[in-house]
Amino acid sequence: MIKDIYIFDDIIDSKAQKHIQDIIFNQVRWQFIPDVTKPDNKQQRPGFNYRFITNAENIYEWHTDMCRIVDAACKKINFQRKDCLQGRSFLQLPLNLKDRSIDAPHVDADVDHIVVLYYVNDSDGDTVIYENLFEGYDKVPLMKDLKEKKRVTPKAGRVVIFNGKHWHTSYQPKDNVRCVVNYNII
Amino acid sequence: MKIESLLDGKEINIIDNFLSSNLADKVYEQLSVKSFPWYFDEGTLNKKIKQSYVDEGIRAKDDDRILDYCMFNHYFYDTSQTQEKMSGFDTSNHMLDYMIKTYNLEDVILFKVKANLTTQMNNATKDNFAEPHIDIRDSEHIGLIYYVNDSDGDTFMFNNNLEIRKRITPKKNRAVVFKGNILHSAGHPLKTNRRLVINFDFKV
Repeated sequence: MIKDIYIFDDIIDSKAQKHIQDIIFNQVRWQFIPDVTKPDNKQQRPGFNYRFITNAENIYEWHTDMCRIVDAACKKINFQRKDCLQGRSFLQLPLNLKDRSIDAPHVDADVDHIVVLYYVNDSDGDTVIYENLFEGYDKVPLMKDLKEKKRVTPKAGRVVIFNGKHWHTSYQPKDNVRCVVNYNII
Repeated sequence: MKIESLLDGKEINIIDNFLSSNLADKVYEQLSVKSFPWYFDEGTLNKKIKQSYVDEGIRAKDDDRILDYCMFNHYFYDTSQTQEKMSGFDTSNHMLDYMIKTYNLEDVILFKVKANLTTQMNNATKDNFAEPHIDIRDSEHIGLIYYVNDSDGDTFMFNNNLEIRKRITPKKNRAVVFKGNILHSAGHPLKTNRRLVINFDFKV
């Protein structure tokens, strides 16, 4: 499993980036979610999501288009992808939050995987990846114990690739719609 | 009775308990299920139409009350959209059937039925609103906004100089019926996490 955190700009060419934006902003049928991290999260910061693939086998519309991002990312780090555990897109809006604290740190899945996180548009709401690794849901680190390893600002065409065991999260956008495509691969 | 009867002789008419409480609950549930699909829309008006409102003097170029922002739509019936984008006819048909029966309406002809979901917007106040607009500018029609949930983010009704004529606070099972040539707009919810409405436009 990879140890470094990789960031690549223009992981796909500008024509392909626009194609992804067209799918995301003009075609995707979004689902409202009361919280972008998990349904029972106390913060209750709503957003929208769409699933391209679930449980490594249920494939929905536009998965093939999104695989272009994943394949380009894998090629960059010379990683042989065997499968996609899940692929989702999240869309967040600048909410008028009184509490601007960071979203709840989380891991996307409890099995070994790599996160391929692609930024669809220029935005704010940095992604934060912590040094701390997932050791089970009974060993969730306290916020004060998390040590920041990398911070990534959303930019259209940028991808960040990291070991899915790293706890990670993001800030809520203040100025722009924030939209990502997130694949968990093995 | 014609669809105009819902106006009750007024230009803007607010009707509470518009649907039966059972149907209002059903509509709320149908729009609230996780699987209910929403299309992203980057703003109330596209750039060309927005410019035409400025060119025609309907709105000033700079009006700091206007804070337009993206929203989410669901198309039940809208001839300006492609067939595959339209769904959820059961919900709109139940509502229409109820309206026709309860309000003794006849010859109801639709232009469109769509749901709008508006989210909070950073820095918005209760006095900001999205782009004032007329839903269909070239046809006489009656507009109806049905409030699906208790929310904030008032509906604003304007005169032709964009002075506010009326503010309507969203309330579950409330409807506002208005002459289609009245400029109107939606405020942003500040306290609730989403503002859900269903917008009907009827031919007159």
